[in-house]
Amino acid sequence: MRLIRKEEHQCLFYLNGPEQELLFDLLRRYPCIPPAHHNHTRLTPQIASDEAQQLLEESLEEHRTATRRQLQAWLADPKRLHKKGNGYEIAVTFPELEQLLQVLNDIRVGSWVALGEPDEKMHDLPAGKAQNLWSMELAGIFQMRILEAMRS
Amino acid sequence: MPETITPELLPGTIQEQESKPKSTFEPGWLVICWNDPINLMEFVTHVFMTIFGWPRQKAEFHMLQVHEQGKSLLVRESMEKAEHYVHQLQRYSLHATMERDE
Repeated sequence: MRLIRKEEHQCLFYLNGPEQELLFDLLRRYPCIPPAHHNHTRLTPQIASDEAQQLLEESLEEHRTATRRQLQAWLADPKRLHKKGNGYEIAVTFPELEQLLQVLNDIRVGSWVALGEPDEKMHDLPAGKAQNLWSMELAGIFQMRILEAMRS
Repeated sequence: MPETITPELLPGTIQEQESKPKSTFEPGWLVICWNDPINLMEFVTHVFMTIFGWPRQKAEFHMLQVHEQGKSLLVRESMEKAEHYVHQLQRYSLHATMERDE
């Protein structure tokens, strides 16, 4: 995945065939973070009223539902990908890039949670968790590509 | 014999109440971001810039504080605004919480 050019409202990327398949397969995994993962407060749990916690969970759930719906439409849009040689050109607006960053990080963090929240050096891969490791690493690579493009 | 204490109030002065209940609109809530080994440093910087509108230098300062010290106090706000920021940060899957500023 490489940036072709950055325009006023969007970035134009080139993805070769396998990259496009990997990215779209990865995005279809959203959402990955378990809803109970988020905590409203930490040091002073007495402040974490049930109401505030419920508000946070409802807000995140609404956001996830809306994001999933928009993502499905985005992935299914036949006009989004333009065949170019052995790959595709894809134009992504800045709000869409922001949403993709949120989605990719949900996948990255959710995969990490599924792996048992290991520290930076994971010595033993839990049985049956190769897919989670793959998703976590791949999401990070696509995140960096997007961030580099936005920063350029 | 106990010492008699006389109030030192001058005529015309108004004594303020010692404990005034804090309104939820008063800036008295801290938004804190916590370290974890999964979020990319560049991503955390980007999120701080996006949500708070900070310049890169300030966002990187707080990102490094999270990374090196385990947490960073991002803003001190009213309860409503603090909740808003926590929700925004958690939409990006960062570990953010709010605490009462005692």
